[in-house]
Amino acid sequence: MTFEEYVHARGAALVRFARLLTGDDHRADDLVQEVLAKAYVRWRRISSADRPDVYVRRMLVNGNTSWWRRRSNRELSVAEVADRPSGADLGTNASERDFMWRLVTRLPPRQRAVLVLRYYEDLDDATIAEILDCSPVTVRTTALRALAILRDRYRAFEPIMGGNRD
Amino acid sequence: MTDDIEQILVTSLDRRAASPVDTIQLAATAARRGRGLRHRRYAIAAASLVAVATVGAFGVTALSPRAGGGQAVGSGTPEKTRTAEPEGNDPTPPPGGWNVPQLPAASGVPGAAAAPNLVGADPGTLHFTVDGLASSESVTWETGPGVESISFDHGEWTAQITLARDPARLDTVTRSHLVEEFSWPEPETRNVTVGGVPATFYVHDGAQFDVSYLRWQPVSGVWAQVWGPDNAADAAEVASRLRLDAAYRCVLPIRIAALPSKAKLLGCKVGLTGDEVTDVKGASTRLSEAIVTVGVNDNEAKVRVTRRLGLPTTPDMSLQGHPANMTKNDRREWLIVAPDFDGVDIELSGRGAYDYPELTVIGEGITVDGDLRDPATWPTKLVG
Repeated sequence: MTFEEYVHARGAALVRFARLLTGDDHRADDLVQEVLAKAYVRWRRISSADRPDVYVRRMLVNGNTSWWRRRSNRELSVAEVADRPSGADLGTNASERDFMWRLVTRLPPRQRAVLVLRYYEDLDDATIAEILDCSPVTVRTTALRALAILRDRYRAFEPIMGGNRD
Repeated sequence: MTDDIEQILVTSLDRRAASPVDTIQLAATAARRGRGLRHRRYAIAAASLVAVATVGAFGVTALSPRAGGGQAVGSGTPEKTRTAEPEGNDPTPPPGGWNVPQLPAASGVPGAAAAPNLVGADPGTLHFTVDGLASSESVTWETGPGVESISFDHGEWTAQITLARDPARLDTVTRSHLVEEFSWPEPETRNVTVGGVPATFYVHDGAQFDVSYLRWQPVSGVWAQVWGPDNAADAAEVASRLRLDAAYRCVLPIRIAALPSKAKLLGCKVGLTGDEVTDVKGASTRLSEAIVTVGVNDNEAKVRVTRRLGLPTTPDMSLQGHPANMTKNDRREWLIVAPDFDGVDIELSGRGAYDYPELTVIGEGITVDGDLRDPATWPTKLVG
């Protein structure tokens, strides 16, 4: 598979993955470009790997984590991280989704990465562990910890959200 | 409701991620940036190669000029509308070729050849230049603690030449290029010469990326580094373009009237494009990014100036009457963003003890001045 074929086949998925990792569309585009540019340099080696997609996604996760450290983890304002409203958003489910997304954006990068890989990419723990360069047990505990945080915060605000619906 | 937390999470992530992606553009951009990293296709004029790059014991004995001749000059290419956002995404040069303006000369200031002790000593001045900068797609000049550097693009590749009196400063610069943590395994080294001066080409074979650079002492007391090319011959060719006989002022299209107590200029960075681009409001500019760093000890503030990019912000303060947004990062450091501040975007960030009051002092004293297409019209002093 050539580099171009890979990007045409997997580029959209990588950008969507990066959007969830970064919480910022512009940053996601830049991150994917940056990582793919580096992958281009090593494409012969990467494409000969068993699963180049795992390798590239690991690069994305590492790149995002590194960016957070390097750029002092700029905190995005709520306006930046919140979903853009649309006519279809004006319902209870949309509120839940928007609120959940805001909670996700406040998770540490690694916890967020685990959740995205698990619940968006729908990968098994072994593959996630491979991407994150850790053990499947660590993936599991990280996911559980992140879910616990989300659940706690969601519960704390559920009455308020319920009030908004009325 | 909370029993469905995972389902809500799934739908939230699905919705957030979804929107079209232009994979053709993505592949083209990534490939181009990749080529810029790899630099393998840099075409070298045979004559200059013979003159400068003597590559010895490591097997790189000759290079062949490649098609294109290394000149990124267009020949009858239809003029395109160049916009601000896809900087670096469109490598097509304008009909007349790239034309990056040089920074203003620092009159009366000697270059590094005549005064090596000045290298890295004045953040407002660079004591060298590089041949052929004008025909680059873009150029970035930068000064920092003990270092001066120039980065430039030429078609499919980019390179950076850095000068420092202390080689440890060059290590810091090299690390700043790395996206990922790098373990710095023992490098392979290759001996080359640059203009008859011995130089060493280092290659660190990292897990995901190779890191390579060339180092030598162009004059006694000054270390130089070429970063970018992945082979000794290309690095040596880039090195041959170093010129130490003149000095240039690092200028920005702003001036800062007042600094916090005891603060001084610590660094300067300015990037210019080889063709005029338009910002989000249609104004022509050559400014890509410029940064002034001021402070004292470990307390510092950065003022970042870019052309207007249409930053999404929610104003919650004003800076000289301009709507601005302030946030804190996880280290509780302030960031103030003022989009469209007299024709540019301004971003102020503080570190160490520099907090909101210090940033306000700096921000309230910023004046935007000069033609954004011409650094010769920019303020002669960055501060004061």
